[in-house]
Amino acid sequence: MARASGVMLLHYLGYFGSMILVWLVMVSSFLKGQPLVEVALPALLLIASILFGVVGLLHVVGGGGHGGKR
Amino acid sequence: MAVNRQRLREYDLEGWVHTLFYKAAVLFSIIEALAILAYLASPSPLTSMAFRVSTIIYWFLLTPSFYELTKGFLMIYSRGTFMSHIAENVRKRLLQRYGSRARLASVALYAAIILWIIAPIVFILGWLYG
Repeated sequence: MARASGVMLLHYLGYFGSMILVWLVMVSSFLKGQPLVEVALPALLLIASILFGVVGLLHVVGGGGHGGKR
Repeated sequence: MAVNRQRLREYDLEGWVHTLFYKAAVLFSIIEALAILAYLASPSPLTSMAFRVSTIIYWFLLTPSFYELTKGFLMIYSRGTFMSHIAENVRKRLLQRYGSRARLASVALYAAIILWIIAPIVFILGWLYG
């Protein structure tokens, strides 16, 4: 149970993180030539989308986690 | 499972759309991650275009989730007076106490939707004219 909760925490971190970071990446796109905008935000979105996607595929959509088979 | 999905579609279309888009976003997030990785590893017009197109698709797939999340928070904030299915007599009593929260929640939902929609417009304009 504790392990499943930790996995779901990572998944939701990626889920909500993706939502915020997609918005930030899009809105800050007009700021050209700044490393934060061109590298750091996409890198954070990369981490968030991996957490959301990989954990989601293995434990949520696949039916292993709390979200389970719907 | 297919029967459950069919029931959800008939009972709650909004929930069904959210579930469908959520699962599509889970799958698509892998493509988004690969597109970002390619863009960061070797920036070129091709990888930049792949990153931008996949980000716009990812934004689109996350849109129902954003709406549900915002609505959920505002339902909690307004103590159930905003967009919840409660008895009318209960709602009236709650509105007497939390009326200002309900009014603020109804405005905040539209403000959040506008802010959410602004992002891809800025993104596409920056892409075309930046």
